[in-house]
Amino acid sequence: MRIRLNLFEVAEDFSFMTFNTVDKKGVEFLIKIQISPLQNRLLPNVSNLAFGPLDADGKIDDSAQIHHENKAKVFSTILFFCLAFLQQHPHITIGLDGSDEVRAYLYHRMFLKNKEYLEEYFVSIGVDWYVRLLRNNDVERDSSGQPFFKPKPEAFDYSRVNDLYRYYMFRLRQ
Amino acid sequence: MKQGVQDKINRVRQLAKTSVKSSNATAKRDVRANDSLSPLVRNAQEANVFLAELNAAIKISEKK
Repeated sequence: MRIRLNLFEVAEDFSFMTFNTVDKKGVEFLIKIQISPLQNRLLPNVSNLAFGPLDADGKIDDSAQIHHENKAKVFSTILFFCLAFLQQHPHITIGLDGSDEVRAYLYHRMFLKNKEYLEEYFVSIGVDWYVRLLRNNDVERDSSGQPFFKPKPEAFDYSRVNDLYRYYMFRLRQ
Repeated sequence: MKQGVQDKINRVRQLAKTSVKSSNATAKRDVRANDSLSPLVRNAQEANVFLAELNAAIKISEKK
């Protein structure tokens, strides 16, 4: 896979990077990629990947929809950055939160379109949310009455074309 | 790893050393992300289960 980089700024610990991209109308965007530890300190070796243009507050708008002129280049740049990050932090597993349909579709497509690259350098994982079915045919619920979801990771199933995961993960292939 | 890819990573590392635009450029990884996975791991036991299942999935994925 040919990767041409048009980088603007890179943090020394690879916690973030910015690069330029162009949409189909020729408008240029500055995209920031950031890898941050999760809020949950029980998962110290899982970090969250976010990417997107910056909003008015200078934060990543990861729900922005940009019609990239070259989507493949954007995806390969993001994965390349992750490769560089994981080489420096090999104990980390990177997670992408597919908490809405737009993001989940984007991440799922990134995994499917880059299967060869991912399988060469990474181990890819998909995570679904499951809930236990009780004997009374209700589902297990928490104290507030909401379904008691539990995350279930599996080796990424590339045959799931339209069946999106809830959360996406990958780490460096050893 | 392909040498070409490693060379690019090395070039990016060099860029990182000289790419100091503002204080944000050298920000430490102390900004914690909001995510939908965190609320589902509520205690140490659930964390142990999730991490064990993650490791098992990784082992299966590595064999593919």
